[in-house]
Formats: sequence, C-alpha cells, structure tokens
Amino acid sequence: MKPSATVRITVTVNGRVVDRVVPAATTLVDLLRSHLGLTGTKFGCGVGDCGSCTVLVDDEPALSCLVLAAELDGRSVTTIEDEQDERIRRLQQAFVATAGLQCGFCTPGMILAASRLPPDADDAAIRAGLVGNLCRCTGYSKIVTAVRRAGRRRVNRDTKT
Amino acid sequence: MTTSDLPELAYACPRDLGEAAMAIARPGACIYAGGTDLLVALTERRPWARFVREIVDVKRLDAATGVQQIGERLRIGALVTAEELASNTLVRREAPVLAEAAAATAAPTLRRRATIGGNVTTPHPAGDVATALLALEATVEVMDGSAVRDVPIAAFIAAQAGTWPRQQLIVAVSVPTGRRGAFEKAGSRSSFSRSVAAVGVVMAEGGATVALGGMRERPFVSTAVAAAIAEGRPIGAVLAAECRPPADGFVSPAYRLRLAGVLIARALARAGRR
Amino acid sequence: MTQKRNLTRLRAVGRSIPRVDGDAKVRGIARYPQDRPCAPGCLHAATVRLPVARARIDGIDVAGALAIPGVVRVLRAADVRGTNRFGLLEPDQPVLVEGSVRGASDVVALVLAETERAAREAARRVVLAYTPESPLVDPEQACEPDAPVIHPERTPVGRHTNVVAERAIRRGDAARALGRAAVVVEGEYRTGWVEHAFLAPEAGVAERDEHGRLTLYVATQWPEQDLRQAARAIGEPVEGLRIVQQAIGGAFGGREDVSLQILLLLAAQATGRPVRMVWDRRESIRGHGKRHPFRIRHRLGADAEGRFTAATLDILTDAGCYASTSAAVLDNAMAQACGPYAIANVAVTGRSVYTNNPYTCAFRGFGVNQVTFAMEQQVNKLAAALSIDPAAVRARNFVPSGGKLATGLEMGATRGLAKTLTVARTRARRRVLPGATGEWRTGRGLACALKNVGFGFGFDEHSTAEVTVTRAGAIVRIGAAEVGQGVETILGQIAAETLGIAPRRVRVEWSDTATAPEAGSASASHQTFVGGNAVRGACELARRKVEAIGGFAALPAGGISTLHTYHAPRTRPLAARGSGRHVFAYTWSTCIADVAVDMTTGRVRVLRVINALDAGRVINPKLFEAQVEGGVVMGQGYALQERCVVRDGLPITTGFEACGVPTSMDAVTRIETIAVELREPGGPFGARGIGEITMIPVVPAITAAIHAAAGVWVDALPASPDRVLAALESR
Repeated sequence: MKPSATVRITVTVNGRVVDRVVPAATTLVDLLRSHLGLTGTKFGCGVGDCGSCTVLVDDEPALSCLVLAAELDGRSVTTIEDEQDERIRRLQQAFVATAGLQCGFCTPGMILAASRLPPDADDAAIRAGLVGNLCRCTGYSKIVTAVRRAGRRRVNRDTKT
Repeated sequence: MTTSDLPELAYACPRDLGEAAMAIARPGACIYAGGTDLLVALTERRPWARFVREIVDVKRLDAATGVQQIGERLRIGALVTAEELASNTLVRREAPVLAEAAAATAAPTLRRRATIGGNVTTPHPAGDVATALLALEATVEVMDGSAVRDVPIAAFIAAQAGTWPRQQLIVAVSVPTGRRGAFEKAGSRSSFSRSVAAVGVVMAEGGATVALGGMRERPFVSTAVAAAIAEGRPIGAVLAAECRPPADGFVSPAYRLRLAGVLIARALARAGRR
Repeated sequence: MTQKRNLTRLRAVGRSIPRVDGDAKVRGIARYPQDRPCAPGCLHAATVRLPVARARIDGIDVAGALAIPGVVRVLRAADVRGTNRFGLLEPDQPVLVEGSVRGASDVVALVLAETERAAREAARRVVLAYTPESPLVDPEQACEPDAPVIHPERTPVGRHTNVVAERAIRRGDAARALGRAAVVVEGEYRTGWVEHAFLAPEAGVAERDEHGRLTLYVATQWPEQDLRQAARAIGEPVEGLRIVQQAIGGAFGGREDVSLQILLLLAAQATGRPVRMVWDRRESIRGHGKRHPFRIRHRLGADAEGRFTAATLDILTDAGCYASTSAAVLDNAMAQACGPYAIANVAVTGRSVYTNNPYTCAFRGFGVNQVTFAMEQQVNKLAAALSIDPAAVRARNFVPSGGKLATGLEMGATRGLAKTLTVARTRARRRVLPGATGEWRTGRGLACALKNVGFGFGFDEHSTAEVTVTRAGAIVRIGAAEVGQGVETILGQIAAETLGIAPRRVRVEWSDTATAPEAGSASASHQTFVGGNAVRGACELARRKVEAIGGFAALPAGGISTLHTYHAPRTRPLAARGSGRHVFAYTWSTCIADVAVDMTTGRVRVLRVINALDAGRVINPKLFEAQVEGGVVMGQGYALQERCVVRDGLPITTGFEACGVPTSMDAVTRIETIAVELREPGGPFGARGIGEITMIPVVPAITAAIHAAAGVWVDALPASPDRVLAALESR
C-alpha cells in the first residue's frame, strides 16, 4: 500500500454512478462543484462552521467541505439536485410555502440536514438537529416551521397508508 | 473551479495496524480520521500542520472500532465518534461524563465525524471529550512500533505538548466502568461553540477527579482543586493558581476562572446525585 | 393624478404570495457568483495582503510566484490605468496599494494564474519587504498631536487630519437646562465591531461580453455605483462596463462598498481574458467593512414628571482605515441620536476618525442602532430613577405629528409610533413572563426606535423602472438588488396591482445593468419606497396606455413600454441647528423582550420578543414577517454575543463561530410580529421600508430586560456573559 497523489473513486451521486480520478487533496465539495458541476451545494466557509455544504453521504448528513473525495469509493452521495428524494422534495415545497428562505444560500445545506431528522421531531429537536447550519437572514423561525410541516405531511402520509 | 484550499497531499488508506504503522512512520505523514481538525488546520495553514504531505486514513482499521465492556473497563476504539459515544448504552451507563461531553460538543454532522482518538490529540486548550477522559483517568492504547502500549491519558497529552506531528496511532481508549460523573461546558455562544471552559468531574472512593478544559494550553487534571474540594476549602484561589487561562481577546481570564468555578460546582452537584 | 380604481380591495398588494425566486433557490439552481462556470481561458486571481495593518512597503519580489507553473502575471499598483482610488463618499481607498498599507482590507498585489491552486500558492510565494509601523488603534487618540496620520494626502476637514467628519447640533441651551433638571441620567455607552457574516463569501468573474463590455458577474448592493468607481479607477468609460448580478447570498450593508469588483475588472482588462476570484471566509472577513464602533457619552435630563428637558451627547466613532460611508453614518446617527422624542434643549457633538482598524461601513441600521441603544437605555434608566413606567415616559415625550425631533428634524405624521407602543404592550400583557428557576432570573424590557427610510440628508435619491406590457403580462426592469429581502417579489406585486393583472404574469428583471435601469442601492430600507414608486409610476403610465388602446387584448405584438423615474422628496443636508426635512420618511417600532439571566454565569437567554412595527402598508405579509424575524435574531446577536475582535488593526475572529453568529439554538424561539399599517403618504400603496428597523429596538429592549431580571445595566455591547457577570459582581 503506497500513498498516491491521486485517487480513483466510484461513487453514486444522486443515483448515478460516477467514476473519477481526482487529486488526493480533493474534498467532497470540490468533487461536487468543480468536477461534477453540481453547484447546488454551497461553499460558505470551508472549515465546518456554517453547514452550507451539507450533503448526504450514505444517507447521513455530512459536511462536504470536511470529507475527502478519497473516502467516497463505493459510497453514495445525495445533493440538493437529487430530484427523486421524497423528503428533500417535501422540504423544498415547505420552505417555499412558509417563506423559510430569503437569500437562499444556506437553504440547500439546511434542507439536506433537515431531510434526515425524524419526521415527528418537535421544534426543539429540529433546532438541535440544525444547530450546525447557520442562517443569517431568517432568524430560523420559518425554517423550523417549514421542517415541522414537511415532517408532519410525511407522518400524515405514512399513517394513512 | 476548486474551492477548497488544501495543500497538495498524498493519500493512503492502510487496511490493518501493520500497514498503518508503516504509513505513519513516513516523513510528512499524518493520521486522518474524522478530519474535523486536520482538514481545517491544513486549510488554514496552521503551524502545527505545515509538515503534512500525506494523509493516512485510518478509518478502515477494525481494531480501532467498537465499544466493549471488558471486566471493569470499557474499551472504546479510537475511531468511535462523538455521536456514538453520546448514544451508546454502555457509555451512557458506565461513563456518563464521557457521554455528556460527546453530546455537548460541536453539532450533529461534526459529531458524526469527530473521533475519540482525534479529540485526544487535537492541540487545542479545550477538548470536550479529552477533558472527560482525563477526569476518568483513561488509558490510551498507543501503537509503538509493532507493539501496543497503555499510556495514562494525562501523560499522553503532556507528552504531546508543544510538538505535533500526529504520528502516534491511538488504537483505543480504555475507561473504568461504574464511575459517577458529569460534564459541564460553556462556550462563547450557547450552542455549537468551542468551550471557553469545560469541566469533567468523576467521583471515586478517594474523592473527585476534576479535569479542566480551556484553562491551560491543553486540558488537564487538577489535583489541587480536587483536594480543596475534598477538604471543603473554597476553590477560587486554587483555580487561579492552577490555571493559565489563554488571553485570546474574547473572554477575560478572570471570567474564565469564575466560569470554571461555577461549572465545577454544577458538575459536582450532578455527579454526586447520580 | 388621481386613481379611478377602488383601491380598498387590493388583489396583489397585501397578499403573501410565495417569493418568486424561491423555487430556484430551494432546488439549488439559483446561481451565486461562486457557481458561475469558468469560461474557456479563464484565469484565477488571488490576493496578496500583508500580515499587519500598518506598514511601509519597501519592496515586492514576485520571482518566486512567477516561477510556479501556470502563473501568468502579478498585478501591482502601477498596473492601475486610471486613478488608483475609489470610495463611496471619498475616493481614498487604493485598488492596489503602493507605498503604505493602512488596514486589513488593503491588497498589495493580485496574482493571476491558470488554476485556482496555482494562484493561491503563488500568492503565498510573493515576498514582501515591509517595515511594520505602530498602528493607530484607539479612536480616542486619533486627534492627538502625535497620532499617526492615516491619510496624509487628504485635505483636513476637522480639527485633525484624521477626522473623517465632525458634526454638531445645538438647540436651546442644554447645559443650563441640565443644570435645572429634576433628574439627570448620565452614562457612557460602547459598542464594538460586528461582522456582517452574510453566508456567501465574495466571488466573481470578469470577462468581456459580446459587445466588448467588461462585464462583472458578481453580487452587489449598488451595481451602478460599483461601475462608476471602477470606471474611474481602471480608466474605462462607464458605458464600457456592465454588471450582471448573480443571486446574492445576503448583504446587510456589507456589499455596498466595493470589495473585489475593481480587482476583477482590472485583471480582465490587463490580460484580455476572463478572470475569476473566490474568497474564503477568512478573506471575506478581512476584505469588507465592519459595523462602526461607537462611544457615546450621554446625559439626559427631565422634570419630575419625566418630560425630557435636555440631552447632551458626545459621539466618537471609528471609521477605520478608509472613509467609506462613515460621514453619512455619523449624520444618520447624529440626526436620530435622541430617538423619536421632542426635547427642547439638545447639544450633540460627533466625530468620526480614521484609524488603522478595519474600515467601517454600512450595516443594517447605519449608525442608528448604536445611538438608539444609548438613548433607550438612558430613557429606561430615567424611568427607573423616577419610578415611572418606561412606556409612559416614552409616550409623554414622543414627538407629535408635524413636530421636530430633539435634533431638529421635521417630522410628518408620527401617530404610528404611539400605536406601536400601544399594540406591543397590549400583546405583552397577554404573555406571562416565566418566573425564576434555579440560577435563572427573568425580566421584561421595552424600547422604541425610529429609522429613516432612504438616505436623506440631501442625497439625490431616485429609481427608474421600465415596464413592457404585452398580452401575456408584464416585464418590469429595475436594477434593484434582490439580496434576500424579497424586493423582486414585492416590486412584482406592486406592478401587478397597478396594472390590474395577476402577479404570476409579472416578471421582474433586476440583474443586468445593460437592461435594468438604475434603481439606487439596496440599502437604507428604501427599495420598497423608491423602487416601488418607480415601478408604480411606470405601470401607471403603462396602464393608461393600455386603456387608451382598448385593453390588453388590443395590444400590438411587441407590447408597449413605459419608463418612469421616481425622485424621492428633496431633503436637506444636516446642519448645525438640525432644522428642516432631512429624511423623507420614517418607520417606527416598539420592541418588548423577555429574557432569563443566569446569575452565576451571566449568560442571557431571550425567551420572547414582541416586535410591533409601523410598516405602512405591508405588501407581502409573510415576507414582512420573515424580515422582522431575521432582524430580531440579528439584534439578539448584536445585543448578546456578536463581536469582531480586532488586534493591532486586524480582525482575529476569522470565522462564524468566533464572530458569535447566532445558531438555531441561540435564537429566540418566540418572535411575535405585529404590523401597524398606517399608510405612508408618499409610499407605493402606502408602504414604507422596514429592513433595518427590525433589529434596532431589539438591543435596548434586551438590555432593559437584563436589568429587570438581574438588577444591572450593561452599557456596552455585546452584553456577553462576562460583561453581565462583571456587572453583577460590581453591584
């Protein structure tokens, strides 16, 4: 096993398998934005302070600025551009309906982070779950409302079936 | 259209401890686990990370995973994350000070990456998990060549003082079971904040062990404070003598000391009630 | 002109339609400057800055930088073809520094390379020989005879070359009146630097468009002003420059000054190639201005019934290394320094001085936050001293409609102010303050504020809108920057209402200076008013044309277009007697805050905020509420935890956490917004502008609540745990 300056990864991004060779010092946010042209994931600080770069890795929220692309071989990544994810879509609708966004820069990361909270999470749990995602515009109130409503719609849907 | 600002690096991903030992012996190699400290330090070109040319990703090392009870100790793999520590039934029951520290640190996404091994080795005055481990008088299983040694955590942290490179692979951390304890912290904001002061208190037959974070260059155990508590003396003056609060321009040293005193009292009260 | 339609039943204005840019933003397809793909041949730029705030540059060696593969060029001051100076009020800021560095934002050189990595690496390899000089960091010392002169080339305007602006307002005889007052409250109030912390760091691309215009793809509050400054600096006619705005990731005043715009245009001009630059968070914090620190010495006198008889204030504010809009901030602060009250005897002196600290600039509130904190705290202290209810004291002293503020400014209708007080208190009476538990004590505090809408003070404020109406709907072109506040949506609603069509048939185009007429800055809470009136005027003209033609169905294929420029009412510059109409509109607000104070650590939790605002007619209730909530949390942050710490002239808080930006768990969870809608006579459909007032009274309401809870006044911001605890311990 020798160190290598580049890494080869086969990673599933939004359901599509992607095969790439990238420099070792490539973070996941670089891979998404620069190599794959998926600019929905934002670069807010680069050091894990703001959450704007949040995506899902193997279905769990992760800060893509602090994950190396090298770690993604054989894994799956979901970004805001995923149009199949039911939970993301429901949150998108809720954010627009409740005015849970203003400048919108934190929104993709916020939605990704919220997408894996328990759907019946109460406001305190939602705030705790999103504490790593900063918003400067909204004061968080309508974000919490949007997440709660999106969750409730899923609970309602689940209990109906 | 790169946006991250990491220096050029090589990447290695050892499959077992033997490969890991060889990898980290290479010049410029640095252990990479959760990356929540290392990647930030590399991006910001912090002095301690400037030597790094090679990232050694240790996340495939099975020997460094898992939480098991072995007799009267818990063996916690170095790769166990803060999130796992906070939610693990064994840790919550047998070492509550550690579960509390892990739950209080950072934010959920960071907790899912930050490892116990990483927190022990991060060169920061505060380290919530490290503070709790000090209070537990944990031992650290460290790779030394091809062998594994047990090192008391206080000695391990002290030996790191002033020097990095992160070239000692921690395999696991071992803590005693059944110790009542509590962890308290206060940051510069009420959530998602590095500790301005952190306190880990563990009750044992001989009295309390008190560990402090944010009060010196690295977290440490204060026997003087514990003695003052045991003898019922006020701890203010002892704290002032024991601590060297960093003058970082945010919070006055005087406030840090007051805060530490309050947190110690709270942690003692809760630990005592357990 | 008279309206023939019945306006009491509005169909677009007053409705909470979803914001029109929401869909693109939630899907991640809205493009911020960092998202713009690189054109072929695009170069990447990286700045070279000194690690000190003040130094003489003795030499620059770029050989090491040029040796890095992919590095194309290193631009220096000599490469600036026009006048190497820009600035919103005074052109005192160099594009690229030569000679001396004055502060954190200074850029010494710009490296251009084929890749971002090479550019950044090369920037690190530029060797700078410099002689550090002792920075001037204390504004109190800026006018000492031996103080370092920050801008030796500048013609002095005050007692010392380091004075950016000096003002005095005198009415009546304050000293005498204070001497005869039944009670005098005295205090010294201090506020520090604060970082805007908008989430999107600065980024941009400059390239020539198909017409040869140097075009910037960037996010900015005032695109035409950027271009005017750029034209002068790089020696290009302004018609040869263009901005195409990208989505703007927050601004709050921090994108009003030029940051990287001129550097990018310079680089594209010099190389003939597209140039891209992206700043990380640390560079962003260095690269733009900060909120002004204020020191206010305040004396307020009243009679035994609590009627204010006199106030004297001495204000000192730190302009930092460049003038930016500091003189205007001082004007604004001076004019509103005594709050929404009538006081017969007033003496206010103010000074804004250069230092080597970060330059200070516009930030949501523009100086009114700081003076309101001081004044409202004084009023609350006075009320306590006289054992009079703080609300009653205020009501007793509110400036009446048609009256003059203490500082002499003529007011129009002011009924809204008392109304916000009444509705806020009525609501608060229905909210029980939780009792004390453990170490926590609770308390409730109240404060009022006013804020000017529009720049005022003689500034020629205008906005132009062009409307094209077709059978399908309308396109409104107006260069009003959508910074997140919702102006794109609001202006569309105004257009729809005026034209009598559904909002979904209106599209607002705001982003291209080549096609969208100048609307003025997205600042001073004024785009709803000034931009809104421009849109309304253009739509009114269009509507009449449509009626004359015989209705929408009769329109020709290409539709019809109209253009309208709205000029805000004339205002007068601030004068020594402060008399006259300096501002054309005001908003008012009363805030009531409930807090809990941990008496052992000094930590403060905000439990509830009631915010009653006179917004005039609310165009979009949901977006209005969203703005208020955002302002409340920004006010909470300013009151309790935000600080940009500066050491030797450089910011050392280089990230969000260090700057204390509130998280979801810090933020107050119960925010109640009450809109008092007393129509603003000159506003579109009676609307005003509320972007800034949302945060202004929140701060003194919180500090008053701290006093109610803990028995201490904290006269410095932020009222952080250490300050609160220190106040508790010195009781």
